[in-house]
Amino acid sequence: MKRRMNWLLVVLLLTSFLAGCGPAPTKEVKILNPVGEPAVPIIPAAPRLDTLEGKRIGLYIIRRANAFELMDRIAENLANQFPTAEILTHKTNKVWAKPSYDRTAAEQGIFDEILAEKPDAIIIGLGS
Amino acid sequence: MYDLVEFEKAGIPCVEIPTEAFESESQQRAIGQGLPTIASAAVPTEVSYLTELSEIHEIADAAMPEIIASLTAATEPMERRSAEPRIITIKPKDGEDILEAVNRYFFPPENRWSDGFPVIPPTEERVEWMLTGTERSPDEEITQLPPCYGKATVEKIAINAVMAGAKPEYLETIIAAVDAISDPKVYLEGTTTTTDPGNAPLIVINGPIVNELGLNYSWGVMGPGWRPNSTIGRALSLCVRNIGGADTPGSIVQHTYYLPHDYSMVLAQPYPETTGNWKLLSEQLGYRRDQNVVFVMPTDGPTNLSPFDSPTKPISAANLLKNWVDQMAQQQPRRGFVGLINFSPEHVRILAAEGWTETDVKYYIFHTAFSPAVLEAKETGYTTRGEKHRADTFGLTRMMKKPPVENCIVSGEDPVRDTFVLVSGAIPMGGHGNMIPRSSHGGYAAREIGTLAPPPARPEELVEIETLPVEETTTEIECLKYGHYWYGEACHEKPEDYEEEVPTPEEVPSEEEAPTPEETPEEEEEEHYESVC
Repeated sequence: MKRRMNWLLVVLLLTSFLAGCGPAPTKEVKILNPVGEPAVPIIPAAPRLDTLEGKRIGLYIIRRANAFELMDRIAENLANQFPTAEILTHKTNKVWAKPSYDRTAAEQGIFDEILAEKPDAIIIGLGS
Repeated sequence: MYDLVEFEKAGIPCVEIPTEAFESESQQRAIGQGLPTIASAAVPTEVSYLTELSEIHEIADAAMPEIIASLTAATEPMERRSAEPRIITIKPKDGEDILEAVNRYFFPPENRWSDGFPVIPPTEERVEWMLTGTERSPDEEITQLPPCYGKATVEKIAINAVMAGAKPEYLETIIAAVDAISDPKVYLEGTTTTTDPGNAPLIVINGPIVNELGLNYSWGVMGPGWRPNSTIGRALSLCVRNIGGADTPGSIVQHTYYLPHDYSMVLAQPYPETTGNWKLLSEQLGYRRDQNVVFVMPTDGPTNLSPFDSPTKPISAANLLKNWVDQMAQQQPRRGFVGLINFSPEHVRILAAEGWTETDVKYYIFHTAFSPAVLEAKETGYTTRGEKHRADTFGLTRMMKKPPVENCIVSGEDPVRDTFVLVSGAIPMGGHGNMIPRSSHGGYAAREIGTLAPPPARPEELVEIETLPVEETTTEIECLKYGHYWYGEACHEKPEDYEEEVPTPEEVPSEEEAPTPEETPEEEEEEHYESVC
């Protein structure tokens, strides 16, 4: 009995020792987020139109290569597809062609003039 | 895009038509402006290169359904950058150590928070340690960083400073640099997003802090190897990336190729004395010499200039400047040059010995740095591309806006005040200096470290470039700096008299008089130069 108890103790000790030699538990690390919180509040988009029929649609040209050709074609398509819409372009008022692409409309003094045209929607191209 | 945002704020529904290559950039910038529902109907990028009207019309026709839909149906909002959660738990994968796990997390596909080099993990303990470098509250908002207008709080700046490997004593300098680069005059939203490569921000640090922090201003200035120089610059770049949001190439960031100078480019000038007692950059901005100042300017990177005829041959100030300007003019920057012109102490030792100040040198450059291409175009009527030269088109003269003197490659809105001539580097430097052009889209700004005070206000009127006619100049410096010619101890309008010193064809030995090969003296032994290695 005493010998069996000794053997049992040896087996228990050996098993504990082997279990303790296994891989160490993986550590984790906590870091602080380097990203800056956006400062500008969300702006709600202007409500969309139910239809373009009967509306004043401005085509605001940013002077990139082929912008006039592209936007003039879009104006023509709109006029054909929506005969009751009024299409406002650089041909009706030169403010619809931005003088310089790298300054805003306000900096170039045409923002208020564009609003004075009372557009219901504006298409801006080519570029942003 | 900015106009679109303003029109939408005014209640007018809009749709923009960008090319596909730039759609993402415009959308990201609009999100930064607070409009994640920007409507866009992109067209193929090649529309800008087409020459047949029918092909352009085809593209316009194909875009119509999306244009109409964008004006009549709401756009789904795009995802906005988030600073949440504030604390992130990173668990290493099997066999991965902590440093590798953190750095893996900072790179794609997880995130884009690193410049490519390993970062120091910004744990709370390390960030608290970094914050011991300032008395400011961690919540204090210093500025908002473009292009996505993230809030640059002291804590966020400290987090990125830890990542860069900076020390707490650098933090106030980094804070001042972050505030400076967000100045509207710098136009960071343009320089970070443009196709131009030039946003690599140059940081110049002046004042007693140069010695306190151990900044390098001598051998290898602007290069690697110095912890304050490298980590202050890197911290600023990481702030622009992570707080400002300029992190994704091909999307918000459109540089066709970029500059390694964006890792870090920090130039310090010695304090308190400079060679020749030339003014520090901070003094040229209007600060006092004893103020600690940081200056930031997006650049196209430095270009080496080496005006010595040979490493050992003595050179006069006049020859040094002529060689320097010849090299500057050969650069023919596309939109003119404005920025920093950096001489080495070796150059300034020669210049100052003959009485030249940094302002004299600046005026010399204004009066003599003429672009060969502009001169040729004016003379022949054609640009170097074979196009008819017209001053009002996208020609060289139009791009070089408002030069201080006609045909000068230096240009800009206020070139006299916006061009800086500095001395930095080591003696001897092998005769090398550089010119560091400002990015074509950007400006510059400066802040006093600590107070964040901008440069003293200056009068709005432009400084007119001075000039003196030949007959009113009394010294060699006055003569040369206003673009005239000095010889025979007098000032002249043109170098016609120089012809007397040029050998005439009759003086060239004839073939009968030229020594025959048999008469050539024996060749001397070549001198051997010891290698410096």
